[in-house]
Amino acid sequence: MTTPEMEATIDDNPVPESVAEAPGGGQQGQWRLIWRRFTMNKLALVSLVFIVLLILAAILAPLIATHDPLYLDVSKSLLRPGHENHLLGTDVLGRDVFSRLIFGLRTALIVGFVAELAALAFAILIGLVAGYVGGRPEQLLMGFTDVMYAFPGYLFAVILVTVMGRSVLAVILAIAIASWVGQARLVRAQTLTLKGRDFIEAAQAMGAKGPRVALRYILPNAMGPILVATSFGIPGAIATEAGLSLLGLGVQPPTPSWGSMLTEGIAYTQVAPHLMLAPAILFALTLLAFNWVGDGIREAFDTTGRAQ
Amino acid sequence: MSAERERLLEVRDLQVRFKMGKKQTELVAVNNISYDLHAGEALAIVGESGSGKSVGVRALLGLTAENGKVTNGTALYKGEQNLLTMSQGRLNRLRGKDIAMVFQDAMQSLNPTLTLETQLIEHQIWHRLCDHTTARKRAIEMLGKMGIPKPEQRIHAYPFELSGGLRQRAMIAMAMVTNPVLLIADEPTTAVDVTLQRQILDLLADIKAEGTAMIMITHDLGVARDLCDRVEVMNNGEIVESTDMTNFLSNAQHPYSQKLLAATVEVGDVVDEPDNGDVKASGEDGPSDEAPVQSGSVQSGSVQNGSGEGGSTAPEPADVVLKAVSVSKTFHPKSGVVHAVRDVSLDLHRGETIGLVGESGSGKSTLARIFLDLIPVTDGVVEFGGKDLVQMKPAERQDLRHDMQAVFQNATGSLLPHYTVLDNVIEPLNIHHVGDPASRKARAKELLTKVGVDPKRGHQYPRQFSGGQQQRIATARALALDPEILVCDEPTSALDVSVQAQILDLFADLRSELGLTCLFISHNLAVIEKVSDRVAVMRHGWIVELAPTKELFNNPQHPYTRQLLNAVLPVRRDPQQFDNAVPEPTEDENSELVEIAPGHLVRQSIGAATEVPAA
Repeated sequence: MTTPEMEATIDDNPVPESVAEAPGGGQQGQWRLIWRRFTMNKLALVSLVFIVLLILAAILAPLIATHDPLYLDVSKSLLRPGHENHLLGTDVLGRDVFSRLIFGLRTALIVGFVAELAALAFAILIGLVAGYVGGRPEQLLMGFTDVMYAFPGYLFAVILVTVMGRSVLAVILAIAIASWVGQARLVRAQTLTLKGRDFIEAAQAMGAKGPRVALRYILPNAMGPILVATSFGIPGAIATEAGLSLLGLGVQPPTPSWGSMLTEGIAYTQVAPHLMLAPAILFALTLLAFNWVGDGIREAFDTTGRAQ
Repeated sequence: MSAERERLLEVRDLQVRFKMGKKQTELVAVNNISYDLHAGEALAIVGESGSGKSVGVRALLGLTAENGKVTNGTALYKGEQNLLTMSQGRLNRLRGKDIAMVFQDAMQSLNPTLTLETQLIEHQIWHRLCDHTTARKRAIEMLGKMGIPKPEQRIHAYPFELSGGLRQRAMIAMAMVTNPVLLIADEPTTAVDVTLQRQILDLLADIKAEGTAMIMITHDLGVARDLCDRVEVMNNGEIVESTDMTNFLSNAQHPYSQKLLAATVEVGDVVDEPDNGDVKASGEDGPSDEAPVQSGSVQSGSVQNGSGEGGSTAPEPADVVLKAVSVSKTFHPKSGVVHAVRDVSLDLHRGETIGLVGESGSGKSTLARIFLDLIPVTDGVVEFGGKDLVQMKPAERQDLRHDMQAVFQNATGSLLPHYTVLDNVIEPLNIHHVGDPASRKARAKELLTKVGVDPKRGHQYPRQFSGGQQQRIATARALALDPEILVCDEPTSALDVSVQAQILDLFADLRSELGLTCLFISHNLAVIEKVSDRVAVMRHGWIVELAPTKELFNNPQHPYTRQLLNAVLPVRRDPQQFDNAVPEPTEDENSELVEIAPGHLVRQSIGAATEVPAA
């Protein structure tokens, strides 16, 4: 975290002629530079590798799972980890915990990514238009945003689940609706800041018009903080999904989900702690990894505009 | 005390290193510099940005940044105490008491949450100089001495309640209130306007006359010359020349010193005639009308507001490419009404360069933005190629953007940070759909070559270039569309003198080569004199004087123009007598530009008997 201050303090020094040997042309070079800075944070890098492994595991879930996650065998109820070919034991209905975890991972990641990306897309649309256009449209859009902000997120979940039934789609929608608002405000704030920067005025003096200025000059420069927010939003969405399951508003059982596994596990903490511990540990690790990656992204973007 | 010239400070082999970036690469910011300072002497440390001049002096006070370290050297204070090795406690007893410091920006350096009273008293108490009552008395005295009117009231003010000039004075008062032996001034006038700079320096000269030794860190040789006896020239962390001021100016030895001197652009460089401007005592015709802010109470003046001089001088109307007729721009911020530009009429003839000069807040940049069609006028008409800007169709406006380009002060900020240099230069061609991708690229490379940037570096980003290079790139971008008119808004203000000289040469070459029409804005009179054919002086939104360059600099008529010229601190000749009193504004709704000689317009009050009826 010392980098920006250090560079700021030696403001007396000229920018070395060729500091970062950023190769390539166009915007690719920019991203490559950010990637290089990201990789300097080892914790973030390890976390990223972990997340990539999680994603692979989710995609290849049918190959990795040792059992059918939905297959019940009450005679094998509450087996200890390692017994009878069940790596992490079985739950009260005799389902394989490991397999359910892997398929639950699928649910978690789908919910996390899809909900956040949908929210992001909508937030960019609203925030960018509001921030750039200003005036009446801005008042309308941000007024709408503020109204949405006034509703508690769980309210949407209750309504959607009531209307659509308990499904992954309902959960995703509920989370997206609850989280685009903050994002939109962030996008708008970024847009407003960038709109006042000299290069935007210079571009307008060159004759650049609205959409070009908004999409090609403002948006790319606003992406840093937005991506950081998104990278923290994904674990948030995963946690929300678990929370909804805990309240009985989550994914419909028997579809495996970490939230419902946790809920079931809590009832058997005394008899079979692994039922609760296995999803809890994986859950915690996943959230940590996402947060560390988020930190890494933030640091990588932190020095943008300054030579490393 | 005893010896005539007590040696106050002996710096020997001072070295400061910084660790940079994640790899902790070492950078020697100050490399084994040595110098002496005697009591009562004023020493200038001059150099360009990055020369280590500031770092080297701050290290003496233990103000090295966290990642920096003094790695070698001694600094003996009064022959015995080594500032570099003494304990923090002992250093604290010296700092603020024996050795005080004045910074560049008072707004940044004063604590915004405390009143002047607290800030001028607390360090007196810390140093146990006196009790609170005496401290307060001394603070008020010092504020008064620094030229702050009504000090016993102003002492209750917060920094933001003071004007820039008073703030700067208050900061100096804060440094001086402990009666230090040594005052370190780090670019104390760099952020202020010329007239204020002159006032501040006169103040510092008084302080020096009372026996306080001074180290003045500056990049401005005129400032150094005005105040200092000796000079240390720094370049790349080393002192390259150490001599007394007169010797330095007449007989600089080191090539770098010579380069610095040669690069200094100065009023009078172009027109090499002795200025006989201030024959008629400059400040005296001002005080006729007293109240400085009377624009609100003007009643009789509403007769003709934006009329009158409309066409001003239009010798060859056919050649007028850009024309402003009685243009006004009023902003309505939350705190009231700001008349940024008032009743400005200006013709830009093909191929000429008009210099627009004025202090900060005079409205010159607003006028540039109006010409660039970036902001609409409140009143008046801007004509481009004979057509009213307001009535233009969108397509015509787009053509205007094609024909008129701009170069801004902040090159770093005006280039697209996420585009490579080549893409930046290509962008205007993309916007206006000129040529195909291949020809655009070729054109951009050609332009980069023309402005002196290696096109091989085109794939790099603006931030990887130095300030001067960035300004070249911004210029290349402005030229991409072959504009007819180039609006330059303080293009060299953020640059070092040597770089400024290069950029000005570049502009001169480009203008003669491409026949550009130019509107050149600067607060620097010397720069304006060098580049302009005609000069317009702005103040408080009005044009107060408009004349051919030579005429304006040799025969300035408006008291404000004279004051501006007198405030200049030349390097190669003595500064003019400077009258501290700011000339009262003669420009208001009751004034108009009067042509006193062909092409020479001066704002004068009409109906000199402007007795404002007390309402």
